[in-house]
This record gives sequence, C-alpha cells and structure tokens, in this order.
Amino acid sequence: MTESSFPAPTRVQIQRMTERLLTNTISDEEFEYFEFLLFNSSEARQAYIEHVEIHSQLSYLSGAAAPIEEDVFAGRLNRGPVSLGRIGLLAGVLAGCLLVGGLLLAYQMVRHHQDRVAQAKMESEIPVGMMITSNQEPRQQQSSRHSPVSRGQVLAPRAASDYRFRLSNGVDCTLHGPARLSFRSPFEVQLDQGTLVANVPPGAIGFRVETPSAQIVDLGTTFSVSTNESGASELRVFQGAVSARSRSPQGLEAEPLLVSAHQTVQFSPIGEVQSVTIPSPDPNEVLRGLSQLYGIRQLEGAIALLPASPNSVQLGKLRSDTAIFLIHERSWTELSEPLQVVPPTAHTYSTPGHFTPLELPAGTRCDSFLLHCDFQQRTEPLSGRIVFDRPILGVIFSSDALQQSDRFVALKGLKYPSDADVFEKGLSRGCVSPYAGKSEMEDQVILHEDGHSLTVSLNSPGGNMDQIRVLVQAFDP
Amino acid sequence: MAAFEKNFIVDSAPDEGTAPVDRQTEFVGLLGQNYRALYACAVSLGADLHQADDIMQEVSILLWQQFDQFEPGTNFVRWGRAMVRNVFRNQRRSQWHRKHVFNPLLIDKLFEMHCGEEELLEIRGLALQRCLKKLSGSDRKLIDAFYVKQHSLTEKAAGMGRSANSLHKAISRIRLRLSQCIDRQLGADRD
Repeated sequence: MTESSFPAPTRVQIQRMTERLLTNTISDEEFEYFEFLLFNSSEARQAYIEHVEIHSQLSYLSGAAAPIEEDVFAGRLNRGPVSLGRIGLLAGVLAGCLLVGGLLLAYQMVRHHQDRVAQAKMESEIPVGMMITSNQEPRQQQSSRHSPVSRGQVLAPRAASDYRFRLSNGVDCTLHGPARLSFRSPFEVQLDQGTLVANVPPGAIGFRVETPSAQIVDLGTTFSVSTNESGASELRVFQGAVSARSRSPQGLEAEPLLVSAHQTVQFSPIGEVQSVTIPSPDPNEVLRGLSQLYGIRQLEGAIALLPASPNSVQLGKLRSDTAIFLIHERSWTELSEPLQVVPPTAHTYSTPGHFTPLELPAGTRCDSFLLHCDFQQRTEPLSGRIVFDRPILGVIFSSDALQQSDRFVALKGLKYPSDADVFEKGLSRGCVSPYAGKSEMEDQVILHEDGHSLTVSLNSPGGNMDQIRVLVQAFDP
Repeated sequence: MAAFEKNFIVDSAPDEGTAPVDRQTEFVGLLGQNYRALYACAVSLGADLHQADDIMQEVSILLWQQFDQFEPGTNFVRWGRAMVRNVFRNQRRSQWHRKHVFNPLLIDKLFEMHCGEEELLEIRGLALQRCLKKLSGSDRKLIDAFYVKQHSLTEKAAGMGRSANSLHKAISRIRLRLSQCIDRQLGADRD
C-alpha cells in the first residue's frame, strides 16, 4: 500500500496510541498496527512527533534531562601528569610523530579537498525539481520547459516574466520577475529579489525560503514572499500558517513569529517587523502566481479568485452583488471512496435538468474548487467562465452531492453548510435542480467541448445561495 | 535549555596547546541553544528518557570531538540531529532490549519528519508553556514530580500515595489534555 492511498487516522487516535507506547501499555498487535499507521501516513507521523515532543519538553522543562556527567572536553583538555624523566623521550617521539603526522595531514588535506570538490560537484548535479513552464522569450522557453533544476542553480527572470517549477518533494512554486532565486535543496531556496508564490503539500512541511531580511518556514500552506532590491520582504499567507523570523545585520531573531492565513508581515532589512492584514486588491503577480499554481488559465466575467480562504461559505457569510467567488479547496487529494459527479462532457445544464452521473473511482487524484454565489441585494444573474490548464474530471452542483463530497474535498478550517442546514432546514446550496423550482430557475452551467472550461450563470437572491464544486485532474508535471 | 544550563559545567581554565577557550565557548553556546531540539529528536525516534540521556551524552562528546569539522554559520542543529540519528542507530543495535522498537525504515521517516517540523515544534513549545499555566496546581505538581529524575517510578508513585499504574494513567491524561490545548491554540484540532 502506498503512503498516499492510506486513509489518515485522526490525531486523537495517534495521540492515544503514542501514550500507550510511552506508558508501555501497548500490546504487540497494537504496536504493529501503530507502526503500520506511522509508516503509511505522514499525518500520523506528524501527530506522533508533535505529541511525543510534549513528553520530551516536559522532561526538559522539569530539568530531568540528564547532566552531562562525563567531561565532554576530557579528550581535549585534561592532560595526565607527565614526569620530568620522560620529557626527553617524549620530545623525541613527539618530533617523529610531528613529521609523520605532518605528512599524513598534508595527504589528508589534499584528499579531503578532492572529496569535497567531488561531493560538491555531485550534489550540484542532483536535480531538486523540475521546471514546468516559463513565459520567457520563445527560444528560452523551449529550453527551460520540463528541464530539471539543480542544487545551486539560479533563476533570474526579467520584468514581467514568470517561471513555474515543482520541487521533488511536491512543493509547487511560481516566480515572478524581475527576480533572483537560487536552489539549495528541495526544502530550501534563497530569494534575493522578486515574488515567489508557493503551495506546499503536507509531505514537504518545513520548506524554507531565505531572504535578506527574513527566514520563512512553511507549516503546510500557500503563501507568497516578495523581496525588493533593498532586501525588504513581505510575506502573505493565504492558507494554513508559516513560521517567520526577521533577519538583521546582527542575525536572525531568536523567537519565530507564527503567521496565519489572511495575515501579511513586512520585514525591513534592519530587522523591523510590521504585521498588517492583507490589503485589497492583491498585487497582480501574487494573484497571477496563485492562479498558475492552482491550474487556472483564465477567469472571465464575474468570477473572482479569492487569494485567502474565507472563514465560512454558509448562507449570508460571504456575500457579494458583483462577484462569484472561486475558492481553491484542495490540491492532490486522493478520493478514498468512489464519488458520483456530473460528467465533464460538453453539455448545458439548467433547471429542471437531469444527468447520468459518472462515478470517479476511489484513488482518483484531483484538485478541488468551489464556486460560491450569495447576493446581498442583487436580483439579476451573474455569469463568468473558468478555463483550467488540465481536464475537468467532474462537476457537483446538487445540494445532496455537495454535502456528500464535503467529506472528501472540503477545505480544512472553512465552515460549510451543515447537514442540518440542508437536510432539515431545507437550504438549497446547489444551483441546478432536477425539479422545476423558483429558486434555481435562472441558474445555468455550461461544460465546454475542450473539457477544460465551464461557464456559469447564477442568480442567488434573498435566502438562496448557489455553489458548484469543480474537480480537476491533479497537477502532474 | 534550563536543564542544560544547570547541568553542563565547562572547565574553562586555560590549557596550553589545546583548542582555544573561545572555541569551547562557542561550542557550549551552540550545544546549549540546541540541546533541547537534539534531545527531542532522540525521544521522537523512540528512545525513552533514560536512553535519550545516554544518547545525548555520547552525542555531546562526538560533536565536540568533531567540532573542527563544523563550519561556523551553518546549521548546528541539523549537524547535531544527524549525529543523534547515528548514535541512536548504534545504541539501538547494541544496547537496548526493549520489546517495542521501531523499524529502521520508520525511524528514517520519523527523522525526516522531525527535521521538517523544527519550526512548528518550536511554536508548539511556546504554546505548551501557555497551556502548562492553565493546568490545575495538583496536575502541575504531578507533572513536576513525575519528571524529576532522581527517583524510580515506583518511588515517585509511593511518595504520592498512588500505584505506578495510576500515576502513569494520570500523567498520560494530562499530556493528552496539553496536546489538545496546543492543537486548539494553533488551530490544528480539525480532524
């Protein structure tokens, strides 16, 4: 069984098993199962490490970590007493040793240098990732597309040009010029100038961006970092959280700062830090970078990509009379059970409308998006079109199917309509109904022949709201 | 760092023909700053607290012996962690006879995860301090007594009028509560 196809156990399950391991009350069978879980699920390993850390911290804070009883420096500092009678003999032996030792040392130094050169060469040749696209000039574009990027390699796109690359640990990035970025490893890049937008999967938590004024470490998230010519940096977090330390000429700040979704932090080259909420509108290159990372080739009409996830998509919580919001829910999600969707074949759906569902099998890998429309006062429909850079696998637009698919692809931390809202209170969150009903009569979903795009026209006045979930093929360079 | 500072006494007397004292000071400073992280790394790989102490004794000596190879400005904790893993592997093979020891491949995966979680663990450590303040006085005393090193578990339990088993259970419950408190603080409690 591969790691990715394994359904993750809950944090609480792992914490309890960790406790039984710590208290030696775990049975052989349970230990075997525990090992299996840890081996197959990165979430399980993360929960284990975070829980066992409490144990070691408590031990440490209580002063229970043992004293270093042996003298660490004994081999260097403590000399036994040497009798005067042996000094002559020792001096002779020492002189011989120095001569032989000197020759050996010189040989070792040469070997060491050669080894280091060879190792550095070998390391510099190890690919750390793959270039996906570039909008440089056509000749450069041809040479850079799908070429490996290596340790130590520098990317320096000029103004108004972009690079997109994926590191070998799954970190997906766009770099917007003018910029200068160097690769240290799949887990570490140095950004001296420009804007980097990164989407980090759970397996690559710890991905680090070093800038002249900050050190940014991902904790499982989507974020952007912009650095200007003076070395000042701005960090924006769209989903999840990152840890950041300011850097001044004196060095890194000791205590990290936790930066969560919706927050922006600015770092000056002299170590000053300023925290602000994300201003609107976002800089174009960040939105462009996010669109690229999410595989959105084009947005038209009233559809607007939300850079940071909202708190809620429940009725009345995210309203607009001018926009249909597009929310990126998940990347690289693997369906743990089959899921019924509206097939992606070209068709126009409107109320009353019927379709023959397509079943996406368990194990299908996809990215998930939610279109959300909830008017404040407007009574006329809004419409727009999305073009993805990869095939649409299916669309979900009935209330029941949206509730069901929340289990697989909902964004963590985002509040969706509850089962009680839909099944007991009768909230319609979908947008095309098989039955003629006033609330959905003006809604329309058009799936186009190219298999990559859809157009929607939605009307959601009063106590009605419209949502559509779009599943697209997971990005695979 | 408290445990390290309390217990690690350096003989700083000048000594002819040896490494300069400022090099020692640098080493002690780096080890002190990173001791907690290295100790935690050993525990996360499956060592119990006594084994973690043994590992740290050996790691400290090895780090000092090889300190000449450490390049100033590079990441000490990363260097130290690699040493912890090597010592852990050696000690695991030669010294331990525990019933439940992780598979070496899993140890490698745990090691990678621990390295990647460095910053998050630091932030969780700060949250732990806040959560500890929310514990009742009796729970805090229980924690302090449990983690004191000088007595055996049976002695500690007897001193508190409990059985070893009930002491284990009580500590386990407190750790679970602390874990959930940290998760709540950092928004990681969404299963």
